[in-house]
Amino acid sequence: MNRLTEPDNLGASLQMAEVNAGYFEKDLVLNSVSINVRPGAVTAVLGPNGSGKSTALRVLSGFLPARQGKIWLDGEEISALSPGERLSRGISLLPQGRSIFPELTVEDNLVLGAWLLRHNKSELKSAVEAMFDRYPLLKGFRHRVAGSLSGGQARMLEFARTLIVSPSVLLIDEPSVGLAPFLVDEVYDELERLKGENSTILLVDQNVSAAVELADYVYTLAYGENHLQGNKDSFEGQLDGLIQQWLSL
Amino acid sequence: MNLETVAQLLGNGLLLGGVYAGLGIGLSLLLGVLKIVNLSHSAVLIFGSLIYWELVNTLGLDPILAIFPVVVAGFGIGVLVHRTVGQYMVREDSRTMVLAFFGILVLVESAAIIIWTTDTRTVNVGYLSQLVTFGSLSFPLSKLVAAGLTVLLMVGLHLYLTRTLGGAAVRAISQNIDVAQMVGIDVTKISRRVFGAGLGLAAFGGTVLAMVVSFSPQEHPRWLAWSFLVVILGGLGSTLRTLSAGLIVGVLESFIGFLLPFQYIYVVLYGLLALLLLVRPQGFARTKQREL
Repeated sequence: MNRLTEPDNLGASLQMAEVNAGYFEKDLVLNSVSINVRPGAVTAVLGPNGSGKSTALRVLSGFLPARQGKIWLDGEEISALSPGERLSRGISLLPQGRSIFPELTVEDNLVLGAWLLRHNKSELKSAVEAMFDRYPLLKGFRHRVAGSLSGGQARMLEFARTLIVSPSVLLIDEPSVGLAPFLVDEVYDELERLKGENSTILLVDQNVSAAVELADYVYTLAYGENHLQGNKDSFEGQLDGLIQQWLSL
Repeated sequence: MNLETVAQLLGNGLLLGGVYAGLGIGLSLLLGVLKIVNLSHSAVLIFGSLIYWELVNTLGLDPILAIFPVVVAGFGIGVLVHRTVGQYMVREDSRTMVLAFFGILVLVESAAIIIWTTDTRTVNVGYLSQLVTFGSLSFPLSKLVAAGLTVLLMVGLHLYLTRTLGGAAVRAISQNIDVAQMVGIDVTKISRRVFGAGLGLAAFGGTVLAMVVSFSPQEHPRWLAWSFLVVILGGLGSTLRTLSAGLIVGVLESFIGFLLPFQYIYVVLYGLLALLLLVRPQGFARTKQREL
C-alpha cells in the first residue's frame, strides 16, 4: 500500500484526476481526489462516513460538477459532459437506496431504463427481454407495480434497469445498504456474476470485508482525500485495523 | 323527490362535474408531476376565459373552435414562463415557490382587470345555447359540449400518460426525478412541456367554464378553491381519478343545491373535504410502495 500523490496510469477506462468537488460554495467534499477504474475489473472505494465516496460517484456520473481536476473515459476528457451524455457513452450509475419508479410496472421500469434506445423499438424490446432472461424472477412480476416488490426483488430490478443499456462502466453506490442480511448475499452474488462477466465496476460500500473480497483494486478515502490504495492482496490482514482507524476519525 | 327529478339532478351534476374536472386537471398535472402548487392557476384560467370571450364575442369565432387557440396560447406561455423563471422557481423551497406563484396570480389578475375591467361577462355561445332533451330531461347543449370535451381531453391525457413511452417518462419524473435523470430522460425538456401543458389545461378550464357560466376577473379565487377541491379529492397521479372527483363534486353540488339553500353548498362540500383530509388525505389515490 502507498499514499497516493499522483494519479497512476494503468490503462484505466475511467479516471478521475485530482478532482475537487463539493455541494456548497465554501465546502469541499473531495480534495484533489484521483481514482482509476480499471477495465474489466472491480475497483472498490472505501472509507468512513463523510469521506466523499458517494460524492466521487456523483462527480464521475456527472451529477455533481468537478470544480477542479478532470474526468477521462478511455482517453477522452468528459469533465464537461452532462449525466445524460456520460450515460450515452456507457457510464451508468446504480445509486444507493431505492431507485425504482414505484407506481410503474416492472416492465415500464425496464423500458425507461432503456430510454437511450427509445428511437429503436425493436432494440428496446429485445433489451427488455434480455433482462427478463437474465433475471427470470422479474419476468413473473412483469406487470406488477414495482413498489410492491420486496427489497431484494427491487434491488434486482435496479440492477436490471442499470444493465439494460449494456454500460461499459458501472458505478455502484452502497448496493447492500438497508437490506436484510440474506439479501446482502444475493446482491453480492450478483456482483460476483458481473465480475465473472468481466464488467468494469467501481464499487462504493460500507460493507468493507465483502467489498474487499470482491475487488481487484482498492482505494480508501479519508476527509475527502486519497488515503490508501493498492491491490486487494495488500489489504488482507489489515481490514480490522483499517476499520478501527475509520471509527476513530 | 321523484325518479325524474333525481335523473335530472344527476344529469346536471355530471355535466357540472365534467366542467369542474376541466378546472382541476391543469392544477393536478403540475402538482402531481412537478410538485408545483400553482396558486396562479385560477388567474390563468380566468385569463383564458377572457381571451375566449374576445374570440367568440368580439371576433365571432365558433365557440368550439375558439377553444384551440386559447389552449395553444396557454401552452406557449407556459413554456415561456418555465424557460424564463419556472425552471429556477422549482429549485426553491416550497414557501418561495408558493409566494412566486402568488406573485404571478396578482400579475395576471391585474393585467386582466386593466384590460377587461371587473365587469361580469357572458360568452355568446350561439348554437350551443339550445336545450337538448332526452325524454322528460333537458340539458343545455353548452354544458354537454363543455363536459364532453373535458372528458375526451382527460381520457386522451390518461391514454398518453399510461400507454406511451413519453407518458411513462412524465410519470417517472413525477415518481423519482433523480432516477429519471439517471436513465437519460431529459428532465428539463419534459418538465417544460408539462409546465406548458399545465397552463394550457388551465386555459382550457377557462374556456369550458366560460361556456357554461358568467365570470369576472376578480372572482377567480372561487374557482381556485373548486379546483383544489377536485384535486385533493381525486388525489395525485391519475387523470381518471381527477375526472371522477370532478363528477362527484358536481353531483354533490347538484343534490345539495336542490335539498338545501344555496349558501349551504360550500359549507357541506368543504366540510366533506375537511373530513376526507382527516381520514384519507391521499384522496382516491392508492398507496402501494412496499417497505423493505
